[in-house]
Amino acid sequence: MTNRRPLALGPLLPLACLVASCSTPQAPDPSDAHEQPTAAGTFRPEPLSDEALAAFGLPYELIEGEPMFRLMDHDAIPSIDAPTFVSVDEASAWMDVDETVLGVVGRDGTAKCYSAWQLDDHEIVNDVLDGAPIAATW
Amino acid sequence: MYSRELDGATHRFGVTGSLWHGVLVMFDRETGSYWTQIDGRAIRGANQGATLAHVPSVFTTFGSWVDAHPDTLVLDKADDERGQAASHYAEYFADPERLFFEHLGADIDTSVVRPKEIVFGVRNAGDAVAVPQATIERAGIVHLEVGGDAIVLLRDERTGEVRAVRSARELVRVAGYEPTVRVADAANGEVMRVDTLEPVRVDRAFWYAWARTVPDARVHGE
Repeated sequence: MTNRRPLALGPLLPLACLVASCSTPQAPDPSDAHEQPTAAGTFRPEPLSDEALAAFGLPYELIEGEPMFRLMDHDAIPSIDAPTFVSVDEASAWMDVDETVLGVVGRDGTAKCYSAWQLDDHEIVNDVLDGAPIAATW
Repeated sequence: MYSRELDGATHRFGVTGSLWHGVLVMFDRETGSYWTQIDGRAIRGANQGATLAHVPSVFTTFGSWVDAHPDTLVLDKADDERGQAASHYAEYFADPERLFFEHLGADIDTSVVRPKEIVFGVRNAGDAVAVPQATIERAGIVHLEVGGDAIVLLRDERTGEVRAVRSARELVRVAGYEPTVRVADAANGEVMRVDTLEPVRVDRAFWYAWARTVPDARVHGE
């Protein structure tokens, strides 16, 4: 089971903004390591040093001052580029009623859903819904 | 979920295999620009500065979705099998914290504190101790020895604020007051205002970040 959380429920953990220092009391805000200024004081995340960045042993480039780590090559995780769909009857052969799906309804009322485990495996589904090109991702 | 249309042109998106801010980065095949998955913003390349239109979607169970949309189409399984990992790094992709732990090595203790637990860290004289948020929430007052000095961590239950002070005395709660305001000396009952005690810097961080930043980080037990 992965620790992935749907985007709808909150921000993903920032890589680089991790240690917040404060010498005055603070009300904790566990939802985000990028601390916001509060009435009592301010947490400032410390940027990773060059040594710290190099220690990961991964190629990286700085974008907006934050490292983008290259874990894999492009398409090492293959997006779905020509998705096919089946009916509920057919899908019931492998889908559980309790499993998570990402659901969407198009402008003409067409409903589609994408299983969470397939989104985990492919990350992106390039699809067209009622004529509108969409990227199903989470 | 995003629209793939930008300035009238349809884009095809792929997975870069890179993480930025712990966020998955996509690329469009038309220009190679990088896009954050979390907010659909192009952070590098010809499309830099653009943002994809958000398409409302919902996370729910398959059963609930079918109840609401009985004629729904379902993404075909095709050759996909559950639980399949794309590559050695796929696990890091799914859980960016692991990236830090694997690279820091086995000496980071995750048996006591989970990576994303909040800890309050105190450093003194080359030593460092992290107190899990759960611990200080339960206890309200935690006595530490850090770098040979006695330091006390205090939490205000009303506001959640946590502060640290230097004190060789054992401090206990005083009825009617939060520990960040007044405490008593356990030995003689003397009540004192916490703001008369010497404050000590305390850092609030995710455990995995603290462990990565502070060498030989140790965790305070109960």
